[in-house]
Amino acid sequence: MAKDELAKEFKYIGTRPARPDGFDKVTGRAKYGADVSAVGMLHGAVLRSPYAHARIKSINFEKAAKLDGVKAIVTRDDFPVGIDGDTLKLLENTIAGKFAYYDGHAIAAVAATSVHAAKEAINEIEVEYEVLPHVIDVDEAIKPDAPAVRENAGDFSVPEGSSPNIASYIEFGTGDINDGFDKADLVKSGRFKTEAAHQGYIEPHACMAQLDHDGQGEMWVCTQGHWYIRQMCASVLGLEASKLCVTPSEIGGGFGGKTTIFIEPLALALSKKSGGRPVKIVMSRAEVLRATGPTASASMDVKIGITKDGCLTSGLVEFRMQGGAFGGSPVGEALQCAFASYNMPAVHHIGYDILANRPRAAAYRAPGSPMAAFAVESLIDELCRDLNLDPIDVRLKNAVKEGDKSSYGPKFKKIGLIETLEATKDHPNYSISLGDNQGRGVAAGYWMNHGGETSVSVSLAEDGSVNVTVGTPDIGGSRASIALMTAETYGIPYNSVRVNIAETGALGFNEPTHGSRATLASGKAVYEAANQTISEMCQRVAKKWQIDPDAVFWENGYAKPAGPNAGDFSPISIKQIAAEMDQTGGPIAGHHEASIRGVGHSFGVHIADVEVDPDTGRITVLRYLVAQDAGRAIHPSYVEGQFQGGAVQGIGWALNEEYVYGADGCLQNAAFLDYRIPVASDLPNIDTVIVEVPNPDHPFGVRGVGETGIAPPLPALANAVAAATNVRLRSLPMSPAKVLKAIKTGSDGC
Amino acid sequence: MAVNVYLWNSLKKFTNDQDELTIEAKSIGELLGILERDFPGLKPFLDSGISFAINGELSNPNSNEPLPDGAEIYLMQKLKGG
Amino acid sequence: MNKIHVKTNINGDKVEFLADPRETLLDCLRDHIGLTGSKEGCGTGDCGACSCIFDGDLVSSCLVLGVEAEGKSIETIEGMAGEKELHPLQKKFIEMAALQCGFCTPGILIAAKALLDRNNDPTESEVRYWLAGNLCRCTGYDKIIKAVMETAKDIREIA
Repeated sequence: MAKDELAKEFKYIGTRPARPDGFDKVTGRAKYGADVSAVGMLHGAVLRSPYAHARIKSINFEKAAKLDGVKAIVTRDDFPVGIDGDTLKLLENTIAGKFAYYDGHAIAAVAATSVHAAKEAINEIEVEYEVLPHVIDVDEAIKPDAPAVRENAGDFSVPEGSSPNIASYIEFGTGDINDGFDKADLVKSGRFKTEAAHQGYIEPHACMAQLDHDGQGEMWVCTQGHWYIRQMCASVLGLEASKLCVTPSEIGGGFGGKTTIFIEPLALALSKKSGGRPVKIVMSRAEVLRATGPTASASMDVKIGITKDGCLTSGLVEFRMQGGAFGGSPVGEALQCAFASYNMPAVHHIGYDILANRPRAAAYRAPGSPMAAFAVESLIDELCRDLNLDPIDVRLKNAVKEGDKSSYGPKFKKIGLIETLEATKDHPNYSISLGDNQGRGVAAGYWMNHGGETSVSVSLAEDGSVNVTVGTPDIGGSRASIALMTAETYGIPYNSVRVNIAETGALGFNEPTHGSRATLASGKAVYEAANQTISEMCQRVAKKWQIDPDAVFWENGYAKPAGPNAGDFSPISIKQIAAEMDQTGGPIAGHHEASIRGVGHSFGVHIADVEVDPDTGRITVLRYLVAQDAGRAIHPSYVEGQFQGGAVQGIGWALNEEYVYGADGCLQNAAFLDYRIPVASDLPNIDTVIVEVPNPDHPFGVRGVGETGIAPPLPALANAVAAATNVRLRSLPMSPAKVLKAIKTGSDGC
Repeated sequence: MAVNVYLWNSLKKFTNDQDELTIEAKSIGELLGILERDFPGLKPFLDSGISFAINGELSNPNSNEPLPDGAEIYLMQKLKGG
Repeated sequence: MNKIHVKTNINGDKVEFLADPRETLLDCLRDHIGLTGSKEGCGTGDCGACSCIFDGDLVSSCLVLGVEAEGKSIETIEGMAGEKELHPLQKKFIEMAALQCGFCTPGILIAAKALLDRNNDPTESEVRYWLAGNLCRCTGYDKIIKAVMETAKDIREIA
């Protein structure tokens, strides 16, 4: 799209109307995963391993089956055999076969007429375990003599003779890093560690499923992506995909954790075994923390060279990340993000995806980027402090821009890091003076964003209002942004557009609402589909006026003659066209299916001001600013919301959140009391600046914004603490005990 | 038409130590076929799913997609999001 | 286990249900009366998604037994709006985008209403500490706090 077209004022885009689902959500009317029930419904419960690693010698559910109200019990024997590859890993995680691989791993499931009956039955299932050695910490797991989490875990990328728990290995880079280090005036290296965190959505996983003997199945489930759920359930259960209809409920948060399956196949299997009765399973909070998909923990070595006037010359990173017992930590993405913000002549990246006896990691908002940001942005800050250079100026000096080769290879198209750095530097928060024990930290962050498979349809109602059907569940306001883009395309009021999120049978494949893609991809597809209908409407009007279709154009909700030569016709409104459509050729609708491209990267820069109590080590966040490039903010309030939400998740990860394991390999803090996410009284306002460097490859200039915000807080807070205390913490979370020890002994927390 | 293909370093052992290749291919499908034929060690990586960056634009592969002449193509691990 | 017949008042309506004595008030509201607006986020009183008013007190209904509702008066999110229009807090939350996924929203609205019913001029700090028992993972709380403060201001102006 031409740049000058992007610069024009929009009529609807950029405004802040009420979101269409707001009424339902403030009245309790909206239906989430656990909010439905059906006649004859059974309740499901899951028996989970109490051990971090064990051989399952036998499972005896005779006693359990005899209890009142128990209608079905399933184990791995109720699932197909002969599955391999990634589907086998999914199946293994869904329900254990020969081994339990982590504390909480599902062993069996029961469906009964009440929740209490199901839970009693779980307690009566007798399992004989042989407890095996386990490994939890990533640097312990990579040792050659560590207990092997699974046999033959390494894939084709892993060099021969490697430790048994290395699942995959990646290496990439460019330039001569040793030459770069030689040219530097200062070279620094360090080890940085982050712990596993959970996405922390307030809504536990919940579904209600029905599977009949004829293979037809239905499922209601809270999910970010119901086509993924359909595909995964079909593959682990041996079902035909189109026979399983999955309807997404409203979703109470996902952040990546609800893009995969956990209880869903169990509910379907129980339903089938009970003779086709609906089965509802709702996870408890403890189950969510123990047995869904937290993100990886990481141990990262970084080495960076810099000249005394602030040019980065060379960077080397080695990241070790554990993604649980089945691999899949986001080490590749982390490496991609590590130096992505900077134009460095030489960079080299090494990464290990390592197994541990922990739950199978799922995606968590910009997976890998926060860990990488913590390591690299902290070390850059250390270099700036050692050389007494302004951290924003150093970033500006090295910042990537359009045409620069990225650290992971491809050249950047139009990006907005420099504009975002400048907006941060100009912001009043950067110059507020600080008092004793207070410090300011700055950090940048990056996420590539994603397009992906998208299918939508658009149709005209008889009164000229418009229905839009998309496949991306609305997690944070995307119905509003899609309605705004539709309104803009047609030139009709926002309230004349209704956006529906349809079940799997209604549209072609859709990737989940992940990768910051809903507004970008569904929006772009809706734009195409809407334009199909506009073209059809212009053709019908051209026939009515008996002129060439090229002589009719669309503007502000009307078909108009293209110029005085076309004829002296009064514009015809969408309402009129719709009212006559049954007489002029029938229904008017459009659809678009594509693997959406033209993704725009989003860079963010944050400033954190903290006060550190020297007696308790407690960190108080005084002030926080998020500046991020949104390309074009379709609905600015929801863009701000993404900035703020991401930042606060990052703050929680930096200050409080971690998975705590006992010596027995079991999770110690499986409740919100001790897995402590930020609460309202922990935080100040989160100030925001929406930077707009439009994405030239999107009709409205959109860049995905949802994910980037979680990356900069981890280093920004560590940098602020270093400024406040002169002590550098290289291990997260920066709990009061860790900070106090650092203040007293100079330890870095590792 | 010739395109320039860039691989990540740890793949070099399957491509006679080259991480930059110039290949004559008209489409992504043809390109993948040539890579598999000339460097059979790459097959498991290509099969496991990769993303492409074609002239800076990240995308999932479309085997029918025609390649612009002289395109700069980076092979990357399949990207996810959260 | 025999069920217990409970007679109570919910959002101004007389309601009866049979409760298993092990069931929480939250379970009973959701499963026996169909009032699914109150949510279970944790079941241990840590997240506030199940907030209700129980005989005038703000409670986590997952920590109250269903049988305790006998003879009491309960207010849930479903009773917050008037017949003809939304409560000022509900309107303000929509206007100021103080919700994203909306799952914590019923609990936060009930809790915020309980605050403003007692004190229509809270400081920002008072609002933050009052709502510290209501977890939100999507918004970072910023717009929620601002919406409560703005509503308080509107309420004071009308009073």
